Amino acid sequence: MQKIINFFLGSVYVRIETSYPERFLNLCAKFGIAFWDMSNEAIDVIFVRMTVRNFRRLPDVVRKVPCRVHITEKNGLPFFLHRFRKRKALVLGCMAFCVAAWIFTSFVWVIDIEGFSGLDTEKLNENLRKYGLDVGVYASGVDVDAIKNNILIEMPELSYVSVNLNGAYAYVTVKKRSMPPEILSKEIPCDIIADKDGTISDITVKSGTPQVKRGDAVIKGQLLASGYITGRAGTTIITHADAEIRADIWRKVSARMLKKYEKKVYSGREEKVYTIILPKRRIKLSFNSGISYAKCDKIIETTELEFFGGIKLPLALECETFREYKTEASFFTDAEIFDELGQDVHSCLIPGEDAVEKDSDFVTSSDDTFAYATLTVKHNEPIGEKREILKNG
Amino acid sequence: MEKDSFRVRASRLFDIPQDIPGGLLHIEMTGDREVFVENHKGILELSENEVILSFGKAGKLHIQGSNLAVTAMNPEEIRLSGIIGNVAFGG
Repeated sequence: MQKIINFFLGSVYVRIETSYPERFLNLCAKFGIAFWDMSNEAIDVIFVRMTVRNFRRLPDVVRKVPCRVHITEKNGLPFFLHRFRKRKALVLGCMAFCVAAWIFTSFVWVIDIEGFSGLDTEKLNENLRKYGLDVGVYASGVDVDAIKNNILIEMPELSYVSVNLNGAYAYVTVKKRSMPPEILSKEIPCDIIADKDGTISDITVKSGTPQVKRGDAVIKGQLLASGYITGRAGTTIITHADAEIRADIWRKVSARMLKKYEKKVYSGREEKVYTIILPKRRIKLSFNSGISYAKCDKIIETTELEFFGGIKLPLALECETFREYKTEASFFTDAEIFDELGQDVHSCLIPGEDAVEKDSDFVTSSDDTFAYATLTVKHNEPIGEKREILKNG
Repeated sequence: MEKDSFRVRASRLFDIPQDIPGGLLHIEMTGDREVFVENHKGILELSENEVILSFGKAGKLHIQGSNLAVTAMNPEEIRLSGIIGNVAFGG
């Protein structure tokens, strides 16, 4: 630590020629002139290192002790900067850089939103803009508390909002509110009806009268458990039906694809267009008016520019590559169709769903343009939804 | 034997380290490479082989060795480095 301080203050290595080195050092100590790295060259010659500030106070000692003082070495930042005293443009450039860095870091350039999966991003961005947080706004003018409070009022689906400003970055963290499911009150009498077609695989009625049994095929809307219970004496009471019912649901998954396709044949010619992206502006670096290719692929690569140490700048460099191609009519082979459609139909399966048929069933359309694949799948899942028993019916 | 000063006796009575009120020398050594002396009154002699420090009326401290040099110094403390051979009190 002391070395760092000495570097910033600047130090000199001094040769002192005196017949009284002890007296010289005692006086230095008396005047509070700190020194270090002392060495003897001869009986009357010593070297000491001291800060520039202490060296300026050395005349007090020199007046009392006959000696010759000579600087042999200069170290530290003041001497390093002294070299540049005549290079005014460099000094001005450094100052301009510092001022520019200070000005640019006073604005928000990047808004980083976390925890926003499954919510309306556009609505949040709009609200942030509305309450004063946008790319390019002055950071000190952002009222973080007002933004948090107003967004929580405007977006009831959020339970938590935090806004942290760190230099040119604004970190917005949100949390989605878990809405309680709409549950029919246990006091309200209800039936349980099928909400989809299927075959009952398991039924446990906790309250109410079962209307179907295991193995029964049911259709959507069919009564599965009734809220009416008839007692031994023949009296009927109405209750809130409650049951755990599972059913095998069958469905067909299908996929289709064109047998004919246009094959790309690249000509080998390509052009690149570079663009600098600023927060609210795009600067094109190419001067050509446009791309002359009739058909081409456009590949966009965006590189976010970073300062040393990974500090993101509000700049990005975009490189658009236009690759020319021509098309040729081609047909998929049977094996390709088989693989492609097989993957398509299997990708439609929900986790836990079983394919009843091992292989997909392939057909080709009458005009030989399309190929179709169908697969029957089975899934065991809960079935039934509660329906209130209306008193008049 | 020289009688202890009032400050030294008082510090002994109250269990206070004697170097603080009594102005006695406080010496710390790091092996034979460095010696740190507190409460000195200045350098009397300085050479590569011997450094003599004054500690007022009480006497002198002789530090003998080779390549002796003052690493740092202020009115109360001094730090010497080199190969220290002998540290002795003398009149």
